[in-house]
Amino acid sequence: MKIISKNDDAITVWLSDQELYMLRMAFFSIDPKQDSLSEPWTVEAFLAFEKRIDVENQRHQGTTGLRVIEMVFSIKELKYLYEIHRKNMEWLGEDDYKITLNIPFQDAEILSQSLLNALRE
Amino acid sequence: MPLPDTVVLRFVSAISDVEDHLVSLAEGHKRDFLAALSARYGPEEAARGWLDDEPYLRFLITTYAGQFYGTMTRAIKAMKSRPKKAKRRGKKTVGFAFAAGRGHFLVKAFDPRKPMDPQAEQRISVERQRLDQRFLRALSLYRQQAVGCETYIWRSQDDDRVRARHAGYDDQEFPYSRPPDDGHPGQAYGCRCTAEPVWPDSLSDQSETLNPDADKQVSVLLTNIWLLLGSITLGGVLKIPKALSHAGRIVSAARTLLRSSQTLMGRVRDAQKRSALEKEQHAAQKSIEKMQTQVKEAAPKNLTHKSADEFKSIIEKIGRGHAWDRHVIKQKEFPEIKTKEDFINHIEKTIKSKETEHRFLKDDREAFWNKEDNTVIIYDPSHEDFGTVQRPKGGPDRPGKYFRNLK
Repeated sequence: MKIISKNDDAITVWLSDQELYMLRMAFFSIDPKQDSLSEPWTVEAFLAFEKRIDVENQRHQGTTGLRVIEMVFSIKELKYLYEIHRKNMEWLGEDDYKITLNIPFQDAEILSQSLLNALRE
Repeated sequence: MPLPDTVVLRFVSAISDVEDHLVSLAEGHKRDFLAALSARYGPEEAARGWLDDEPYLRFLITTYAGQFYGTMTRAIKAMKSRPKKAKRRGKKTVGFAFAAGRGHFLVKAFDPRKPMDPQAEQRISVERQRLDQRFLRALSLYRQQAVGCETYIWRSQDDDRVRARHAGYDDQEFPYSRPPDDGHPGQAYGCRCTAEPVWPDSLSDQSETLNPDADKQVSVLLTNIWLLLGSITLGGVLKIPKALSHAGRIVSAARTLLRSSQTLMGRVRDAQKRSALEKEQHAAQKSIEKMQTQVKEAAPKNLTHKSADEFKSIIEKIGRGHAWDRHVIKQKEFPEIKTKEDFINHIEKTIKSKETEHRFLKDDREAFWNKEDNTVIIYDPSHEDFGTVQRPKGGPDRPGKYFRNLK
């Protein structure tokens, strides 16, 4: 993940395919209401997020041909994604992260750290 | 990168019902056809069992189903050969494949990682409708002949899209036995024309249209030949021109016989054609069976295809591994399960249940999801515990989406 720009309202980041996959799976593994996360997204809101990914994805593929997705989040959204990703890591643990998502746990930790940095900067 | 096995499996399930579908289509057509006969010739005529024996029906069904299987097989082959290019363009490995424009939609629709695209679904139904229409047109041609129609009137769609040649055929009468250069209506590629039968005054099946007097005529001709020989001899002896009148009668009889023998020859040719058709049908049937076997053999084997002992040892490892400590004990996701044996039984029951959905994932992993008890099982042959068992949280849609999004 790479932070492209940031202001008071929005953060623009570049996500790799794998990072996007991790965030998407985090959303579907955890119920925000059950897990008392702050500012939970509803399924509708997340579907809107998915749609936005599609648009950004197409635009980006068209220009560079690289599978890097440019996303613009509000601070609240990014904070929520960070929380939900942390919860998912906790729920799955090191073994299951590899088995279920086929991604090393270390990569999940790196993404978590990057999201946190984006919120702090 | 090979084509995901689930895509192949979806193709197999999508094409398996084509033959049954054509049979039901032919049944519906038969009802309509007999109703039309009844309206024209009265219910008694229509009920004479015209379409009780239809040797061509099986042939038509296998031919058209075969064409459909052929298209599907080409689609699978095309998919197998395309992913590298797709990857270079930075697209997903499965997303499009067909050489022609239609294929894009087919493959997109069968991509298991995406929900069925409504546009693609519509496109598939259009493809199948085309198959239906071509099949029904061919069937009409055969059935019209079966009740004794000998000619038909070519009817085009009368719009701008009709090709020039078929616009020329429009409203002309053609015999079934001698179609124009590019075949009967509907036989040329993309043809939308139809054949309007010229109904005979009374219905007659093929056996009645054979000339019943042919034997009699042969004997008359033989008699006349003897008479001619006799007359010529007599004429030679008596020098009278009476023999000439006999000759005139014989020529007229010979002409009649020639006509009836031509009809007979036509029937023989038809019979020969039918036998050729039967041979083709047999060959088509064989090739379809072969194709089905190949597809079946190519279909990937999942965890449940392993031997009973191997299967048992795998689920025991999963049930006694870290999944037990993490998801049953620590996170209490399965409150109804008390012992490891219960847990192993639960895994076995879930994997073997007919309600359970199955997917192949990357690196030979497999995922199972049962909606009823909301259990996701992942088999990972490379892990020491052979996988995990978990229960994703959330509302009705979430766990299903979680399962479908797994890579």
